[in-house]
Amino acid sequence: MSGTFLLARRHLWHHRWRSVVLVACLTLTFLLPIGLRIFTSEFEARLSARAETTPLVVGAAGSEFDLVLHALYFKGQPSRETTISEANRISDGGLAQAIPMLVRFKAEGRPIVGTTADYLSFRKLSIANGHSWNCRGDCLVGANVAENLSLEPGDGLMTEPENLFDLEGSLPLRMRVSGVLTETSSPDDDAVFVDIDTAWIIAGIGHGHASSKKRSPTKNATDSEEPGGADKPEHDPSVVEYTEITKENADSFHFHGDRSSFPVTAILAIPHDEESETLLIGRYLADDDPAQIIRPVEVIDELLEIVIRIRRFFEATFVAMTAVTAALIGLFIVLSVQLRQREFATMFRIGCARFMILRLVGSELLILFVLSGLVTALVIVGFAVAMPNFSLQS
Amino acid sequence: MIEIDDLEFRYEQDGFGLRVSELRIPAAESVALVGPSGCGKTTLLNLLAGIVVPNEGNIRFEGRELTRLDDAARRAFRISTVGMVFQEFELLNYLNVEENILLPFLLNSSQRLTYETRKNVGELAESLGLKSLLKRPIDRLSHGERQRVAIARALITNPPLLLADEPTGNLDPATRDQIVDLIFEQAATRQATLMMATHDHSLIGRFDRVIDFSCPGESKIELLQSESAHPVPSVERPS
Repeated sequence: MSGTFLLARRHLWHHRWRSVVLVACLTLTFLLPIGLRIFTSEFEARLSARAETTPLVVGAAGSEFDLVLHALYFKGQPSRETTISEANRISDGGLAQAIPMLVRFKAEGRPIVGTTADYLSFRKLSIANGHSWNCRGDCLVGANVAENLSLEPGDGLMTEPENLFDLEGSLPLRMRVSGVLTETSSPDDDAVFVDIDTAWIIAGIGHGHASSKKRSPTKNATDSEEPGGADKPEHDPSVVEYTEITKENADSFHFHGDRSSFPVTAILAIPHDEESETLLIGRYLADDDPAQIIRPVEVIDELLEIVIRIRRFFEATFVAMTAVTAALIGLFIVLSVQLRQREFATMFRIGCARFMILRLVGSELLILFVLSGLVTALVIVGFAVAMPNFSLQS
Repeated sequence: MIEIDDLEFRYEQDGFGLRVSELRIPAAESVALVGPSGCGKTTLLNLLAGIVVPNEGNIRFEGRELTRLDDAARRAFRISTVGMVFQEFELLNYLNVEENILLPFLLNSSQRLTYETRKNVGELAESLGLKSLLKRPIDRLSHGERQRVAIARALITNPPLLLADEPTGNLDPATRDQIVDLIFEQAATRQATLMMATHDHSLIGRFDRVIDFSCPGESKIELLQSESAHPVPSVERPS
C-alpha cells in the first residue's frame, strides 16, 4: 500500500462519521439515477416483452390502456365487459384463435383468471407440481402465489366476494388447487387460473345447490339453461347453495341464461398469419362496433413514451442534483484543505512534494468514490435479489 | 560543515528579512539560536532546511550548494539530510505513534519502507522511551511523549543535520530537561549537527556555541525591516 493511500485511509477513518455522510451523499447521487434507469429499463423490457408476445386483444369499446393492462397484466378493470359470443365470433371467423378471459375476482388478493386451457399453452405455462384443472372448482396457482400463500396441490383457496356489503351477491367459492405453475417472471406468477366455467360460477352465473322445487333431477347436470327454460327458479329458503364443487355435488352445478351472453373481460386473439391479423383488425373498424381490437405493442409503446418522458424529467433533475453535489463536494474539499493547511505545511517542511499533497487529497476522494460505488452496487444487487420482480409488481 | 556567505533573504509579503554575512558551523557542533521573537531564528532554520531560498548569497552543507538546487532536489536534501523538530510537535493526529515516526517514508515514494526501517523505528522508539506507545493514537499522549515522537520522526532518516525550533516551548520544566537531554544524546550518538532556536536561557550553557540574533555585530546576522523586533539584552556566552 502506498504511503499516501495509507494516510488517506487513516484520515478518512479518523473522521469516520464525516466520511460516512460523504459516502451516503455520493451513494444517493449515484443510486438515484442509476436505480431509476435500471428500474425503468426493466419495467420497459417486461412491459414490452409481454406486449410483443400478445398479438391482439379484443374487448368492449373503451379505454385501450385499461383493456391492455387488464388483459396482459391483470391490472384494473375495463369500464365495460364483452361476452363469450365475441370470442366465438373470432373463432368462427377462421382468422384467429380466441382465448377468452374473465378477470374480475380475487383470491387472497391475487387475481383469478378465468380462461381456457389454450391460455396455458399460448403463454407456455407449464405445471411444476400437480396437474391442470380437471373439473370445475379446480385452480392452478402461479409460482409466487404458491410460495407466498404456501399452497400445494390439494390445498383449498377461497375466492373473495366482489362486494362485502352485497348480501344478494354470489357466495365465495372454495377452489381446490390442482397444480402449481412454473415460475415465468411474468404477471402469471401472481395469478390464479381457473377454467372459464369456474369463473362464471364464481360470478354467480352458475351455481349448485342441494334441492330445488323447480329442478328436475334428470336434467340438473348439464351446462344448459335452468330446467324450465328462462324461468327464474323459485326462491326456496331451504335450498343450500354449495360453496365448494366436489365430486358429490359437481353434477348439481348449472348455469342460468344464454351461454353466449356470459361475460368475458378480454379476449386474446392469435391470428393464424399476418393477413388474418389485418383482416381481423378490419372487422372492428366500424365506429359503432361495441367491441374493439388492439395491438398491445402499440398501446404499450404509447405508455412507454410517457414513462420515458417522466424518466427524462427525473434524469434532468438528477443532473442538477449531481451538479449541486459536485459543487458541495468541491466546497468541502476547499474548506478541508484550508483547515488542513498546518498539516500540509508540516508535510512540506518534512520534505513532502506539493503534488503528494494533491495525491493525498485525490486518494481520499478516490476512496470515497469507490466506497460509494460499492455501496451503490451492493444496494442495487441486494434490491434485485430481494425483490426480483419489483418493477413488475409496481 | 555548514557555510553561509553573504546571504540575504526577504519575505515578499512584508519585506521582513535576514542578512548573514558569514557563518561557519562545523559538523557535529551544537548551536543555540537565541534572540527575541521575530528576529529571524526560524527563518534561518528554514533557509538551512531549504524550505525557503535566499535572494542572494550561498548556503553550503558539506560542500553541497543548497541555493543551486531546484525544488525537487531541495526536497530530497531535506528528507535525507535534515531532521526537524517543532515547538507545536506538528504530529498528525489521525496516525498512531509508529506511523507518525514513519511519516517521512510515507510521504516520499523515493524512501523505501523496508524491514530495516521498521526495525529502526523499534530501536529508536526504545531509545526514546516510546516502545510501548507505538500503536497508540497521538491524542492519547502527553506533551512530553508527543515531543519525543516528533524527535523520533526527525531522527528516523538518520539525518546529519538536526534543526529544532523551540522544541521545549510547550513543555513543563521537568519534561523540558528530559527532551533536551534526549535531543543532545541523539545528536551526539549520530554525530549530527544540532541547531536549536530557543528562548530558554537556562539551556544555552549546554550548547557548543550560541548565536545571538540581538547582537548583529557578533553574530554577523542582521535583521532587515522586522516589524516585531525589539532590543533585548544580549545573552551570556558559554565559557
